[in-house]
Amino acid sequence: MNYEHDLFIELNLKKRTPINLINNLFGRELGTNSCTLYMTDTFSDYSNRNEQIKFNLMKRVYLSVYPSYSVLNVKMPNCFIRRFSPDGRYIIAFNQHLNGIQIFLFKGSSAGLEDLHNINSRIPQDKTDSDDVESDQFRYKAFDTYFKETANLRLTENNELIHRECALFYKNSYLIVASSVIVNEENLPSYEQIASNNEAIHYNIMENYTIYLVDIKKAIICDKIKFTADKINLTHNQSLSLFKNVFAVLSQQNQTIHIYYIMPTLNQDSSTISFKFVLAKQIGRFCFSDDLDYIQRPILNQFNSKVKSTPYSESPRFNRRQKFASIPSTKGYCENCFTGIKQRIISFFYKEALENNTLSQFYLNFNDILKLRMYKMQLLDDRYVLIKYGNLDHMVTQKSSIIITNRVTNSQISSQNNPSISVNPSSSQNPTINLSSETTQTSVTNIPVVLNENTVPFFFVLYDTKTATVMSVLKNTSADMLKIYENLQDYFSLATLDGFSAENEQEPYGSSFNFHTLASNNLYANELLARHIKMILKTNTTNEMTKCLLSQLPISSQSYTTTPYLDHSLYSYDEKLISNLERPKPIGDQIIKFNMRETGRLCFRLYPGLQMTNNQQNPQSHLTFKRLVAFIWHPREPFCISVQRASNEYNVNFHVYCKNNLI
Amino acid sequence: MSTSNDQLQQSTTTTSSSSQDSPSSPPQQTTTTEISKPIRQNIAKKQTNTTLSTSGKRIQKELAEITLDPPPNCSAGPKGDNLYEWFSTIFGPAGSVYESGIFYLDIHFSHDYPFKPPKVTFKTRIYHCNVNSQGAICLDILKDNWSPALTISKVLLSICSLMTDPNPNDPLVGSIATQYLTNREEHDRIAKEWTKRFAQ
Repeated sequence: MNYEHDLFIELNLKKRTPINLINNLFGRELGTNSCTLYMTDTFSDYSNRNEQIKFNLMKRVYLSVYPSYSVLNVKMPNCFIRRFSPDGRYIIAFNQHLNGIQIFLFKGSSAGLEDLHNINSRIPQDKTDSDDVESDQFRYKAFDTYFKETANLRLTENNELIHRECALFYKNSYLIVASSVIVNEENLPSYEQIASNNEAIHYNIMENYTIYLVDIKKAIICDKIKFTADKINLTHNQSLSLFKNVFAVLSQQNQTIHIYYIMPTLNQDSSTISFKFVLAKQIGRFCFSDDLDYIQRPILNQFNSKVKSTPYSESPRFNRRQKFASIPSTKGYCENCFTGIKQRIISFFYKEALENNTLSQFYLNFNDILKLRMYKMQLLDDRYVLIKYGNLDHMVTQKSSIIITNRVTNSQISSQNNPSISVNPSSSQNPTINLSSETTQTSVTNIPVVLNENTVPFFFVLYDTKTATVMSVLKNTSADMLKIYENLQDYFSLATLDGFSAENEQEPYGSSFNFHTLASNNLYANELLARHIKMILKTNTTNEMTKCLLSQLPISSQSYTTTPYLDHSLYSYDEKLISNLERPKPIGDQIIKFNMRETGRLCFRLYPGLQMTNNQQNPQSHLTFKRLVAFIWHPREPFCISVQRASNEYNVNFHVYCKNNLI
Repeated sequence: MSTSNDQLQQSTTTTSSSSQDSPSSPPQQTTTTEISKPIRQNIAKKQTNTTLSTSGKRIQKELAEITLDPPPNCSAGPKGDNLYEWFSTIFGPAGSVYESGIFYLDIHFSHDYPFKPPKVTFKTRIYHCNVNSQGAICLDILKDNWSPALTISKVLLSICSLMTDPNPNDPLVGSIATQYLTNREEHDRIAKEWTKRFAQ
């Protein structure tokens, strides 16, 4: 033994743990596998280090078992596959008409093993071949081999369509999805009544939203929240955020964050318990839930005190004033005061300016502060919210259009600011003007803009919901913010506590399994980020680099894939083609190679594209070469689905474990 | 034909009436129908330029004064580059119920400023018998007792003193005034609570 050890030192070699399945399985069982841990010093304190070390030992098995076989172009039922439940038992799909969900039970990645073995026993290969009949046939039955439909649940009513890029899991068996429909403006009350505060953005296209909480095991709708005539960004869960049982929704139109708790409540028959959304707070016009009571109290008192005779209740002046003071303040659109959160942000800027003695600068830029509106947000934990503020002018383009049909009124209207006021008094004298005024329309259209977040200034506001204080405001060019992002990336992405916990659930590995390797907790990922920064700095300034990196914040909930195969310390792969951030990537027909991190040996390949042979290729294929591919990984098993959407095709490939290892 | 003439005349009269709102419009604007839109705009520009020289100078002087020697607990300055729209900050006076609060006020100067009082409104909710829910302030020097000798820092000072000593005999919100006189303890408690909730 000793001799061997010395030899290794002499030859400057590192002793490696043998990578074979039996060894790793035993190692996992005993917890004795020596596994090098690659963590950076700045690993955030809150994540449980011990748990992750244990977890890393268990993960070594995945070096021997991997999805090495690609079943191309699987015959799919008519639905859009979304993602696996956190425990991997179910897979969720939206039905073809986008009005309901379909729930499939996952039979395990070993379900198709026998068929694959038969196919592979003749010609060993790592993907299905359209020339071979047997392997071609497998793609027809692949879906039924691996999945079994358990429920088909209709969710929406009133023509609402489910948003395909929006789904959040709460615990293992609850799903949050959202649907929306564009509002017919004719049926709407006036905007003053829709908008809940004076910061509201008047979008021209408003939608009705419904957010559902679905129990996927029982296949029932537990609860739903409705938002009428609103604007909520559902793409990639951007306006939704979930932390444990705290659920937040940002209404961009009303500039309000609604915070709900998902709580078990007794049903009406008081025998069963189901989870419901319980509104806890609305941050926007007010910061505390009982603020409105406080405001209305003096007015209510006033009505009560009317009965009593007060020294001035006799005077007519007082009566007039009393009327003036009792303007109902339930609707905040016409309110003069700052909203609760804006007041606090202004105070933060003011105190900062006071400290740095830059008050004149503060007043000079004050109009910009006034124009700040909430753009995105995320829950950092059950108390702190990170809100991204952008300038109103950057968020919407204001396009005023005046349609004038009558030429005579043209000069008149353009000379006045408000045509409706100027035309009305004249209408009694001159009927022709009245007619023409009906055909003139002045409308201001607010079109939401797709923001290039790399260029526009943004502010990150850290807000404490409990004490309603703005803890800090940082700009998107701030070096401090970049440092925070680099070092605490796992904190933002809620790496280990991704909205579901292992409490009361039979999870084999506990919550720590839902763990992503990010620049802040993994040496290799950190190296990748450093390389990325260097790349950007070659052509851009530091400011631009900071903006570019910080444009990823806030990270929307559950946007990272939890799979051991994307763990940077196990495998190395091309980040451009596949990453643990769950976004479709422009890949086309490229093959993704996974190399083992320790040895650098090629381990397995994924064929995400259509993989057409030369004679099948249509002449226009070079145009659609870079198609977007989305990956749906199973959280534990060697199973992956790649979904590729060409113009109207919906191409799905399965990547499964197969005994034959060709490489 | 006659109707179109009527319209044109009407349009000019309405514009002249609207421009009368802006101060000290000289009688140079004739009601000829030939004046086209750009020319009219030019005239309007000139008018504002001339008024800027009187009220603007005065405001600029006051700005220098308040920046160099601000009254205690207060500060003010123009929002952006518009000299006539100011924004002001008042720290709740120590010892009053508004202590530790930050109160924001909007100040709007008219073009004949020193001769007409500035419009000052609270932008922060305050539980005060002389300030209503829309932020309007009932203060004599901002209304009938305005004098061109007063400056904006004096106005801010008197608002500060109004915060320390409300004037329940001339209230804007009757119920708060009644409470101030009859149940001072409760009034102070609510005012402190409001400061904690709305003026942070």
